[in-house]
Amino acid sequence: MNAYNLILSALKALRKNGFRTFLTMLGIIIGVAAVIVMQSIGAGTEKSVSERISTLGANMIMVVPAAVNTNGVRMSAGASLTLTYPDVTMIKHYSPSVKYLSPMIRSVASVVYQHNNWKTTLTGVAPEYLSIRDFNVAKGIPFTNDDVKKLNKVCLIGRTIQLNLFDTIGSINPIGKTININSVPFTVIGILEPKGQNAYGQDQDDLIIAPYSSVKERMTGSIYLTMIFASSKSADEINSAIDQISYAVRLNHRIPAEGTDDFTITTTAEIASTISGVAKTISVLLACVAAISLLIGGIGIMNIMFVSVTERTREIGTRLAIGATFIDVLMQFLLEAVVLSLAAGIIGIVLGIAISRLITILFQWETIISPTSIVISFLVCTFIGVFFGFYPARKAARLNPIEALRYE
Amino acid sequence: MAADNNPLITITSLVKIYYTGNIAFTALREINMSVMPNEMIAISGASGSGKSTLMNILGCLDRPTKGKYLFKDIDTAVKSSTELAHLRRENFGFVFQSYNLLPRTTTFENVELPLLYGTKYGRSKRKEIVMNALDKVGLKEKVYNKTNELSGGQQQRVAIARAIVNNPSVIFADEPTGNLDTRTSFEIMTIFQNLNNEGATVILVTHEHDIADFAKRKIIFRDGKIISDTPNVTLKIAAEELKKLPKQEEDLISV
Repeated sequence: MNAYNLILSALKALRKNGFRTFLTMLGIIIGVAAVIVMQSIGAGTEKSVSERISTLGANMIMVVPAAVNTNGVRMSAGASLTLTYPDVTMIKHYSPSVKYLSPMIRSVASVVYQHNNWKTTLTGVAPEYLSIRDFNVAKGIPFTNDDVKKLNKVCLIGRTIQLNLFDTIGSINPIGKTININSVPFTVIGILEPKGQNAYGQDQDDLIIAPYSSVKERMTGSIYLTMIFASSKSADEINSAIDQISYAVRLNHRIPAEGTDDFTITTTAEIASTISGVAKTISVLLACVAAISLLIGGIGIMNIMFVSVTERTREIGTRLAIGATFIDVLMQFLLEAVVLSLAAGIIGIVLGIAISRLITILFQWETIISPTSIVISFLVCTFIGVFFGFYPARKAARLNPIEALRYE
Repeated sequence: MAADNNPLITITSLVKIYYTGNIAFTALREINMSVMPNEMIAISGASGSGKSTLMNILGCLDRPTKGKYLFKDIDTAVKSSTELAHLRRENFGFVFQSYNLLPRTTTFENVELPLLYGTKYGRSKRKEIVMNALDKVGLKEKVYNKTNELSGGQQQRVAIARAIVNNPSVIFADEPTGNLDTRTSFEIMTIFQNLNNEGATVILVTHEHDIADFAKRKIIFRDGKIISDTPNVTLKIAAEELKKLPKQEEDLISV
């Protein structure tokens, strides 16, 4: 029999037991739909995570004080302050791969404007910080190195600050207004463009940025920096930048060759890989569930094919008597199994796409359906049909025609 | 039919032994016979006498335990099961007692089935051949009916059409009238006699004497042996016997 007639006869045979066929397909349908949904959620999550991480700033490098032992007590990272402004100078000198560099002094601040007050984070940085973190000034102007040099009491505020300190409708222009930060008057010279939440769910607009020198000299009084921000010239140079920064800071801290760093360098890439690692673990778990569902679906197909062979023993006997060969009968039943699992696969794919869309509509989760997962689903379904259909088909093809014809 | 004096089928010292566990049952004991083209043979005998076994072997559905079976000078013993399937497809047609039509399919699909295996006829050519075969059994008007909508006699006629659709040299019929009443049986036998007159070789197994009377040659089996093999001196024509039967009401209506 040629392929066209084989497929036609397979479809006819499957249609005869419509409901049974559908029940048999359910396992595969659920498995394939699970694969599609899983993949689309996984890809969507990865995309939105990487988008949010990129709001932290591209090619960003952070130098933070490391966990250190103090009299046998191990302190958490950042608990002990080891970074100072000379580190920044050293990095600037020894790190050709670094494009932007900025120290950071961070402190908790109470801000007051007229009768409004707000508790937020005051971030003292160099003007380059805005470039490192991809902050844009929406309104007004950024501060300059001149402001840093003169310890000017100027600041940029985030959208959250604007909403809480001034008013919610934006009728008051904050620019030029003086706000009291921990009782020190600062003039607002710009408003930052909103960034939204970062990958950890923190509000990135709840901040005030001021020259680090002003924060240090007029408020904290400490020589230590909370951390140092830098960015490499390109994504390719990020590793050499890290090496250069490490060399410079170790040199400045007089750490011997065998000594451990008293600082830690992290990058956005690392943060991204941590988060996508979690996403991958979840994906693997879901893939296991899908695989088990497909396996059970396959066993279901095998089972129903055996039932079908037994039911149709006389038909097989007739076909053999008429002149069907071993291969003819084998192909007939094998194709029936493949058509069954492929049809289930197609329904599963359609269902999977529909569920993904529904998830996007109902929960606003981003989902992305990749053609690869559809192709893989097709291949897996074909494989299941061949693998689980072969043994029943061989049983049919090996029947003795006389016994098959007499079968009641 | 150029080699009309060469036998179509020759069997020598044919033995068939069935084994059920440790018990051996000898179904055929040293059978010798030959079949010439265009013969019409009735094989009869009590059940268990070996007549069906012989027919299965002649139809290449089974292999003998011992002995030789030549079909058109082809030694069937050396053929693989696939080659035997090809042999069946090209040379044999089978008609069974219980029709063995595919369930829930149409007359057309059943008759077309042998054409789908092996032969390379296109769709329209297949339809032409099927319609031709159905015409011979007088069932052209039921071509798209489901087979379960047909009467027993009509179903058997579909089975005959299926058997002749490949234009076989031998038609094997195993108790073709076993499930049918006298009138329908005679109708079926009329078809077989017509096919025989057109050149087909017909070998039928039956235990009914009035059916065996329609064959040109009668072979009687007992305990796995041929006890008589004679030309039929009382040959009857089924079409004439059919006319002798009392008319039925439905005949009057359908006319």
